[in-house]
Amino acid sequence: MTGSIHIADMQGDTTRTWDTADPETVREIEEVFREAQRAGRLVYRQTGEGKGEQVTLKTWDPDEHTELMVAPRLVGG
Amino acid sequence: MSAAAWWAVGAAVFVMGAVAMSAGFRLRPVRWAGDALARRREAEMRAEVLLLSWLSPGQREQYRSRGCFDVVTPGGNRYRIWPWKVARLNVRRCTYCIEATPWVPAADEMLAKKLLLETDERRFLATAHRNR
Repeated sequence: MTGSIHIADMQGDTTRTWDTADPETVREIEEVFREAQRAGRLVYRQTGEGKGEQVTLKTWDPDEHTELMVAPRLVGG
Repeated sequence: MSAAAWWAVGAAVFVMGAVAMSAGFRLRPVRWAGDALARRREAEMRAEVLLLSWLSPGQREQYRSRGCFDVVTPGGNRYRIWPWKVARLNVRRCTYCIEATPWVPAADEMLAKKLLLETDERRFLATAHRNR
């Protein structure tokens, strides 16, 4: 199973992909999760048309949750 | 061609070269600004593609026609997300200011606000600055 994660940034987003047949790519995405957590950013998975759900490294299933987004950190303006 | 003519041609070439170089130096900041603008526009277009892929059909249509979209939280509260603010629709004159840090294109920021409202309204309210 393959999936992609979109990391929101100054360029719009940076997309990383993984393939469960290649454990190295899955480990890279796990590192993206850790980095997001360190930066106080939330990660979401797409659950349906227009819907999302927060996902963490603990709850992420690379076989099922194949469309992810790392949101920018939000602060009060 | 006489020596004087050669001198005239040489001088003309020198002057034209100097003028061209001077113009190049003067135009460099303008070119940098143009490049930065182009990169920013490209980033905004990328972010918009991502936003559209996460919106429901109704939200997509609203965003395309009005530049904003509504979200309904699990608690039933309705918010309208604009690029620069979020308004709570079922409470009069209630707007919130919340922004991404560091800077990201507006569409990325709107998507982050939508997802936070739809999944964790309490966190949104705890983070956002409410305008009175």
